[in-house]
Amino acid sequence: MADYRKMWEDLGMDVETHDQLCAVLPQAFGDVYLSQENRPEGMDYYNMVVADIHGIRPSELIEHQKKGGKVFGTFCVYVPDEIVFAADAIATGLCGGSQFWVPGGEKVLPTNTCPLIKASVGARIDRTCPFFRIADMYVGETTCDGKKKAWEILAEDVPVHVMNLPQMKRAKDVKAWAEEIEAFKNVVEEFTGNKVTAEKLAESIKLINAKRKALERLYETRRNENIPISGCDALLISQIAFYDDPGRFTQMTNKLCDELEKRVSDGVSVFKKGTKRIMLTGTPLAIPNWKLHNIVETSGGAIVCEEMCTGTRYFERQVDESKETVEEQITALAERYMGINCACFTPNTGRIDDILRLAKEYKVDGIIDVNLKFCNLYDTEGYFVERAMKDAGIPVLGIETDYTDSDAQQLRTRVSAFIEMLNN
Amino acid sequence: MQKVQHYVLFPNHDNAMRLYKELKGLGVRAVIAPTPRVLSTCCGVSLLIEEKDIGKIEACIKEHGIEVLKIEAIERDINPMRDRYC
Amino acid sequence: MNYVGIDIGSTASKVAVRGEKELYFVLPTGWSSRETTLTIKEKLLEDGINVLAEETKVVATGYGRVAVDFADYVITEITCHARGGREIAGDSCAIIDVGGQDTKVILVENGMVQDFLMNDKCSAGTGKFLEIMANRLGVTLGELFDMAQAGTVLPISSLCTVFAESEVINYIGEGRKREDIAAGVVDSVAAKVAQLSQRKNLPDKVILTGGLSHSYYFTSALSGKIGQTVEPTENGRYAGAIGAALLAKEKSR
Repeated sequence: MADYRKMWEDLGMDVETHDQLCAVLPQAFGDVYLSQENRPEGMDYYNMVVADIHGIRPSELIEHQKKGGKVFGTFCVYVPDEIVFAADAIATGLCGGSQFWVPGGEKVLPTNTCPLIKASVGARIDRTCPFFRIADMYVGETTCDGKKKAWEILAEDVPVHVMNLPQMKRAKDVKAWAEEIEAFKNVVEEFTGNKVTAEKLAESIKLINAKRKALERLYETRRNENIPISGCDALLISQIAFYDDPGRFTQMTNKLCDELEKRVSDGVSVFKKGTKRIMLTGTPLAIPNWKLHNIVETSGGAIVCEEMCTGTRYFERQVDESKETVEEQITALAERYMGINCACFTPNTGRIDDILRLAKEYKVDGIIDVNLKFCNLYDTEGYFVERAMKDAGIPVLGIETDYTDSDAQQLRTRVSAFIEMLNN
Repeated sequence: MQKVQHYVLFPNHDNAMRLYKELKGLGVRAVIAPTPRVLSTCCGVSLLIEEKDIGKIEACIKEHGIEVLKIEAIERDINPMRDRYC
Repeated sequence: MNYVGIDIGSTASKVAVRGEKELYFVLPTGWSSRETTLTIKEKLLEDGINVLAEETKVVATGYGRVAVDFADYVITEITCHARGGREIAGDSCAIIDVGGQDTKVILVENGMVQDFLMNDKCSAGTGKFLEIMANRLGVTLGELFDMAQAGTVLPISSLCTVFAESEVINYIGEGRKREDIAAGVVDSVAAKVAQLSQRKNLPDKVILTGGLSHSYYFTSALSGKIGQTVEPTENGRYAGAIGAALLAKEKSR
């Protein structure tokens, strides 16, 4: 009940409207999270983060700014946080995952824009999210047409730097991404007044790698027959990873993993034996988008993996820590980040390979391919995903949804029918 | 399933964390939870506790001089099938 | 023992009983699934079936399935339609169900649901679309089909019900024949249902269930669009309820 009203007012927020979001969060969180039985105790940390999501972390960022530090807001898993932290600045995720912000975005964007973009733009324009107020500079990227134009709109209100992500994966594209990272480094150095040295960069590469390893460790516990943590909980952790202090997040996640690994060795599962194991693939689920996870896990399924930006795309593979010069380090960063398989690339067969591999590693019984409404890229790529899964004999259900609650019943029917099909 | 839930409410987050740590040390189960809207009009952290532990918790609060606003009981209103997200 | 299948659809609620008794009935769902459920309960009692009794097993399905508080099992309409369709068409078939609110394509292989598709949050290609257009033309659904058979198709190109309705209004404004507009409306639904169906590889045997299932006119329009025979079914509107009744028996074994 710490009162952050004053802080929000000082940030120039529309506190009255923002309060509507505060009003619905506890109930939604209770329904999805506090309803679960036998939750790991380590989840308390993430409960705390969410309980004061617009208080605790924003006030830390403001403290950092008071000491002269800068905050960069990012929207995509291709943007290298390492560069930001190496300049003693903080990177924070800004993707909006709530319908609350969508109408604001629709004031300036076409209705047939994906809800993630609409929510992100709405959160800025309506002044209803502290993170969007705090970030000194936004870092955009060219992962889709909707975003490219959205940056131009946002840039009228806040400094925006856009990174030009190549859309093919030839050697020259990896080189081009390295050049973009170099240019980003220069922007960050100038904006913060701090130099990104090889030493600082080596440190931040280790910092972010450690976060990736912790998430990898978390996901590995879900590969077991006894699943020690629900998909809802794992999703929450993935979502928080984008916002939290990376050092603390790593520490708390590793602590949770100790508990989960103990559960695994004790044969503890949060699901009944024989619960069908589901992997979600597709577009990201930004915080607080918990709808599909909750529906699947209250319809007799267990989500064991997310092949998503809020999932494996965020943490798989490390950046090579052995490089000694900034130039080499940047090449190593480019190689790691260009290894992510997003539908904005053509061709993107690597993603199909990833899904097939993950299906095996996590022993999945079925896949739900999720598409945020109006994401043309993932929607189109769904054709290949579905075909490849069919060839591999893995049942797949395609779902298109947005942030509204209105399709929940239809989703429940589809998901339940899919699980009934897997159970037969 | 119990019909009533008990929450410890705090003036700020630091006191909530202090009590949480102390209770953990005592082996008393407390879940960090967002403060239900009916109990508060601003976002915040509270502790969801079990009725049988209230005595122990009150003693712990006193012993360590932790600032709490109150311990309140509300009707359990948790429904994973409600499908009202945020 | 009696096994009762209750399929609460968005427009109509269907009931099928198997076991000692065999009966079927349908009633409009109306504004409240709960009210409808009560009516069904009473109607069954009149026929000597007490849904609360030990010797009666109930499976509820359809979009209002959760409203049936006396159900022993709740199963989705996909699984129930597949079970009912299997009874009608055999162990390997495709079932196209044009419902009041959504359209489903279900592939059944060796008696099991192998894959399914449902149309998205849109009423185009569903019974709702036909209902709206019949209203616009001032006729009943049955009359719409009769008129359509006598007409020549006027193209309705819009993918959206709201815009398609504007097209119909334009045709009315232009003084086109009602029969031709009706033919256009039915053709447009068939085209959309065919489009959905063709996303999957259909087996040789394809049947139509749902409220339009007995219409030879509609199935022949659909067959033409898909390029293979879609068979009409006499009891097709009860497919979900029959499937539910059969599952009630199988589940309680």
